[in-house]
Amino acid sequence: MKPESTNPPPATPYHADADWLDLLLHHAAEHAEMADSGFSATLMQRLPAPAPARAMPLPRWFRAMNIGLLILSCVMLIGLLAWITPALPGVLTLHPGWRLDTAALPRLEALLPLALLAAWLAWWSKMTLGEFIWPGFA
Amino acid sequence: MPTSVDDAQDLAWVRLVQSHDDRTAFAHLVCRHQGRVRAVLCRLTGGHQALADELAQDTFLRAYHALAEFRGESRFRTWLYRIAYNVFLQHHRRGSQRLEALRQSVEEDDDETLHGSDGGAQSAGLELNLDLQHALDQLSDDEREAIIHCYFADLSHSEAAEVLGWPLGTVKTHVLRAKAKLKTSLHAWNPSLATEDIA
Repeated sequence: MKPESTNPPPATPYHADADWLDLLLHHAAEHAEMADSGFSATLMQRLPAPAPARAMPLPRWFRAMNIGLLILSCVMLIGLLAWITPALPGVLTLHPGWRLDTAALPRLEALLPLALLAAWLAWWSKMTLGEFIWPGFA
Repeated sequence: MPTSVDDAQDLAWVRLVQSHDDRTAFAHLVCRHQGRVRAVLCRLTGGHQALADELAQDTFLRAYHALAEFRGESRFRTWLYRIAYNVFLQHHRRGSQRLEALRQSVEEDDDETLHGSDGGAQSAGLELNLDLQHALDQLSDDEREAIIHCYFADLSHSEAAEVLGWPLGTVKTHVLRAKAKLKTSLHAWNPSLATEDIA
């Protein structure tokens, strides 16, 4: 038992006027302290598994840019379809009578780079947005 | 015992666990305190080491989960002993009858060990251990808990009061009464009596 008001703490935890019972109890307490003998190892195994490391959150501006690019790529793809297929309602409703307008083929050829760009934007947006819009999708 | 250095080291390890879930730091805390915590629980359970170890495991697991709430207002060891005491109390309330049965079986084991051993010093240590346990068993629950926390957990009276949730005066009273009873029960271990006998 340590003294109540000693600052700094004494070199020995015993009272200066410790009687034989104090000494006996301290002696017993010191010898009662148990060796580890696998206690810590068992305990550490019982701890819950560490939480998986969390990915760095994306900056807000980056997320906004990605959403913008995704919307832009969708608009471009819809516009492309509208341009090459005059019968757009037929395309959207999967009308059985739908067919590609042959007159639009030269324009399709001219729009190929734009189509590629739109496809790439869609893919890139999916890859970067996927984890926080639809985890596991990307 | 350089308590301030130990306490500072404890706090540094606690901060590492809190900030980075550092398992190595927690292992250091366990290694440093497991010996005393198990010894205290062993005394509280009446000398049943296996049960004490089980409760000590529970204590450290609870401490790990609650470590985020530790703000460093008291010493880490005081906080840890409070958890250990709560774990003991919960177990005691749940199964005091089972504890009594276990205690009796341990006493029988201790008797066998004592009579089977032949080392003089070891035998003396076991005898003291056994006598002390019997003497502690004769105390009231409150007196026993006060003595165990003040001596076996090496806490000051105010720290013991904090752990036990009692007023400081109550702790001091229980310690005084317990010591008076222990002096009677353990009078055979009084070295001055042995000196007088030799003279």
